[in-house]
Amino acid sequence: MQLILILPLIVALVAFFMPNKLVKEFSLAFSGSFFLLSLYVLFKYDPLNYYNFIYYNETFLVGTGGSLHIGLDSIGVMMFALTNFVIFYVNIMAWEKTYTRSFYGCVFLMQFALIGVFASLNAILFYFFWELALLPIYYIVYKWGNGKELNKTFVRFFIYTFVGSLFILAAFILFAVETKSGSFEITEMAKNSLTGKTQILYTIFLLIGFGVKIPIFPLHSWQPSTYRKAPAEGTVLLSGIMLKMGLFGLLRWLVPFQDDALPIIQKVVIILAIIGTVYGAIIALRRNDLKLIAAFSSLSHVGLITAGIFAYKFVGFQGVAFQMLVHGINIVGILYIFDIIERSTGTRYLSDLGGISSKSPLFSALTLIIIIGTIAVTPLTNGFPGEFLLLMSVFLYNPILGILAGSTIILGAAYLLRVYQRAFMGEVSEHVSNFKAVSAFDLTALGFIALLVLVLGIYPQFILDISANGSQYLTNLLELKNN
Amino acid sequence: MILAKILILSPIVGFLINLILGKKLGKASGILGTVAVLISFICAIFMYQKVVSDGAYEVPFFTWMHISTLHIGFSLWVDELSSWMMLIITGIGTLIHLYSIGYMSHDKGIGRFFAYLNLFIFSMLMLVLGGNFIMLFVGWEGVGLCSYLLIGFWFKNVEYGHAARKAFIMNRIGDLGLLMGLFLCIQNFGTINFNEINSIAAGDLALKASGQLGLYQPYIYTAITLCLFIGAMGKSAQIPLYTWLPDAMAGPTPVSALIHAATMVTAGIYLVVRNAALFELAPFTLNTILVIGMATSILGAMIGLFQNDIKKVLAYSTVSQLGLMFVALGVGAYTSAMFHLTTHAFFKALLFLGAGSVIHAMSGEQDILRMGGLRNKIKLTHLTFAIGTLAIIGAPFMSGFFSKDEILEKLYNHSPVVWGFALASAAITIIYMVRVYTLTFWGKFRGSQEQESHLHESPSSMTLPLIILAIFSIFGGLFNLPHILGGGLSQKMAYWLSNINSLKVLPPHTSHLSHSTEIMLMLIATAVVLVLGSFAFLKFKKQTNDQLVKPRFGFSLWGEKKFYVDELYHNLVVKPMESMSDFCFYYVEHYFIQPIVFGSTRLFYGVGQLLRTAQNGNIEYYLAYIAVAVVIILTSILFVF
Repeated sequence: MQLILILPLIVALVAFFMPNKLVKEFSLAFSGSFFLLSLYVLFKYDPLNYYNFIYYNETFLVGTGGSLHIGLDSIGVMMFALTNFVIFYVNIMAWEKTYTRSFYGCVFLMQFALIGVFASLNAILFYFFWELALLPIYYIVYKWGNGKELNKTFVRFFIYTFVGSLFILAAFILFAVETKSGSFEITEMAKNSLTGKTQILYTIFLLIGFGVKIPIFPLHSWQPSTYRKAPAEGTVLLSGIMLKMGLFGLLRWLVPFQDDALPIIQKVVIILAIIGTVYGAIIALRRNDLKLIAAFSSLSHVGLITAGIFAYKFVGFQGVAFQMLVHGINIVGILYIFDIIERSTGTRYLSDLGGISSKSPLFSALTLIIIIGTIAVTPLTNGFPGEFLLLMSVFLYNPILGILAGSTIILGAAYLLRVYQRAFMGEVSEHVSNFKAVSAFDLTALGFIALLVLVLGIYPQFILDISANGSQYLTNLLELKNN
Repeated sequence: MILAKILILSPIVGFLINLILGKKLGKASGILGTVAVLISFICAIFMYQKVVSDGAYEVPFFTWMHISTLHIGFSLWVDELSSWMMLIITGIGTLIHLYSIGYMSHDKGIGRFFAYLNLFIFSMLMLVLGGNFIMLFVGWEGVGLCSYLLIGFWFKNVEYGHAARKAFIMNRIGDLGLLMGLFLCIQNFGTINFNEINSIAAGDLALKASGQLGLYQPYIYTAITLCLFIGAMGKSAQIPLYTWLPDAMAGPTPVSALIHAATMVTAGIYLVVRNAALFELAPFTLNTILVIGMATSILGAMIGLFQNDIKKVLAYSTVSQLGLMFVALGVGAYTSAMFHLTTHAFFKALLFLGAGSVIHAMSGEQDILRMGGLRNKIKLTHLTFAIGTLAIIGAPFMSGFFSKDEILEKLYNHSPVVWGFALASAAITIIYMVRVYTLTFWGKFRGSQEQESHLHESPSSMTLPLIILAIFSIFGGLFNLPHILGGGLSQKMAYWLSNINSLKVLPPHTSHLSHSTEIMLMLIATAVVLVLGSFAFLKFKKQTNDQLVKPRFGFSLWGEKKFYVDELYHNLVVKPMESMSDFCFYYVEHYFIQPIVFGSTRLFYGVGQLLRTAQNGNIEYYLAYIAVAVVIILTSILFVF
């Protein structure tokens, strides 16, 4: 079963050297199969068997602390499935476009690296995959991005994320040096704990490193411009799955090593995260560019997830796990919709849009479902369980912060319904008047996302059962450390 | 059990079929939607009878969420209160569905309309039947969503879209309150189940009655109930969150009747009654409810006095009547509020449907200044509208008379001052309702000739619901006759509803009014209705066209402009929010957030230069080489070791 983790790399290699004519079909078929395979893994997940059947441990490069130690635990297996989902949808979105083989190669290379990130149980291995995951996205943004000042945007994005990664590496080395264990194994690392200044340094380094990727306010300035200029597929990758690397990194490499010594850092991060939540939502209220709205909406949603992590509560971790998955699904849906609008009308500015409902009722119905799922805390959609638990965890941490964070349920409704109203309702605008019909292919793909919105909303327990193990593990660890 | 499942699922099935096949079904979708709700109504009757004979019972479906100690079951709680609400929702729901078949027959989106309407019935049933706060919240958000969809039903009109969004967002403000109340319950009581919360509150009530301290601090109850009341304010359109309701009249008229008069807007009342034991432990909240309810009641009535759109008048009237119900809740008269909720559901639905019939006859005209003299043209509509008017103003022996009288009585018992205010609100109600009625049906016709030639009575699918609702508007008072009228029916509904868990545990009211005071109050109310009613009728009947269209000034201009509350909100909330959004985007991002990056950008400027020169198309090979290297290393590790 461990081969599942290697397969994307092989596919990437094949894609890199394939004729451009066939690569599209080839990629769609393989990414689709990977997605189905990951669903199988998800359904077969046995909560009692912690690392499940995907587990491998082999030491290499003896003496440097490197080892090939991989395993998918409960939250990891969900992220594994999400990775495959997002990659599948990137291929679906690319279907109507003309990308060359290197695009598809990059996408699969990224899939491989992402799975590595979610499965690594060794810090150095994790860092290796983390860096590997960044290379393809640099290339995709640079090669297929568009808009003015792409260079500037790209350099900013590159430096920001690159420097961020260096902080992560520094943190890991610091850990190994300070504890004198010389091991990067998570199992070994968990036995030691840092103290005093070293612990503060380790925490801050990781917060910066992961915080850039998530992004945590105020480290987000690379995000809006990159989202705008990256191709739609690049934005999907960044927002659908890459930011989860950061959140997942916090859960795996930061939270287990925390104890009561750092309540101030905890408080500061939660406050920053909630500022980001409200700040992102407020900015999204008035933006004209759909992709900017997606960027700030993303900032707002992940802010709440970050706050949920640092509330250090079981309900919070459950909410984090659920919402990481759901945000991945829904933001892919939203960006996909925006991409369809841009393809069909040639514009993605709200002021140019209007009346799409009259042109394509089915498309707008599916859009409405996905938008309602994205508006926080609407019951019976997948947006409910995660955000409800997150808000609850923040509220239990501090009621005032809970109320502040809760304001997103108002702001979220305001900016998302504004998008729907401006673009879909009202009279048909000039740009929309020659709206190209949405293909059955796109409608089916969107329909599946809409279905996920409803199914996960009506029966969330399936996912909550999977993540319960990981959340319980983290909660127990924290309790153990604090007593 | 099976009945409960059919009750819940029937509207959902109707929703799905209408949503998917709506276009093909055409007019049949209306019949399908109506039958779906009728089936629910029949189930509701049987379930009601089961409650009468066996008492309350729970219907579990499945475990929705299970997070450590918090168990959220998808389950229904059928007791006196929920079955009563269920009868109102499905009963009036069926009539309004039937009415809509005729009303919407010319609309292309009829399938979509009935789909949303059925979804609304489902959500509303969830709201009143849910056995815990989360289930209530499911229904609560569901009805809000349906309300959004139906207000913006004619989506091509930009104004309607705005109204829909405004309703949704204002409701969301209330929802935040409700959510916080729910979190407080979890934090303090560790449960969200209504019955468990009630028994906790009952325990504290008993301790309090015996002069001891409760298990929980009083401020906890105050905080929880205030949060819940904020939720109620949003949904039931109380100050300061009432401005969405008049705008919501953009939706088709049956929607206004069902959602924005008879059912959804009463959810706030239901919420308070459901948790009456909690509210009883928080006197501060009860006083707040009393004050806000009274202010809303009077403000709504005053604005209603100066409006010319027939639906807007009725909308402000709803705001005002809901305020009156909250006043009743504020003095602890929970069953009186429920009684008024019931009669109000009848006569307000009747009035809205009557207004719809008028609008239908007038080819879409809603301005009462352009109506007049319709009583001979649409006789049945006129008759039923007159009955509705008599009921709402509390003419003797109509349903509204008894329910309003009961509230006034309880208020007098609480404090004559409160009674005085409520009577004033009722007096204004008499004037504006008689005004609407008279200007619409009496005097000369003031519309265009074309409109006059099209005047016609509505089809029987529309008039039948009017007749049935009119009958209930007359005799609805029989559910709960006052003490002095005695007999087997006296206070029947109040006794019956008092069986629910939250009301059962309340301490019995100690003071009662004497019979002579009761009769005196009743006589005063009757006198006010007769004097003011006939005075207003004669005044408005005589008004000429010139008098009517004369521009207003001073106070009445203020009233016509709704006291500029919308403008106030726009300048105090919406505009600052928008400026803030732009400020954050153009200034904070630029001058505060960007420098963090640019600092590092300059630092690594050389790196950037290097990278730019490296971009010459070879990167894809570079990436491929990395992939090759990785695969070689990994496979060697896998197979060699």
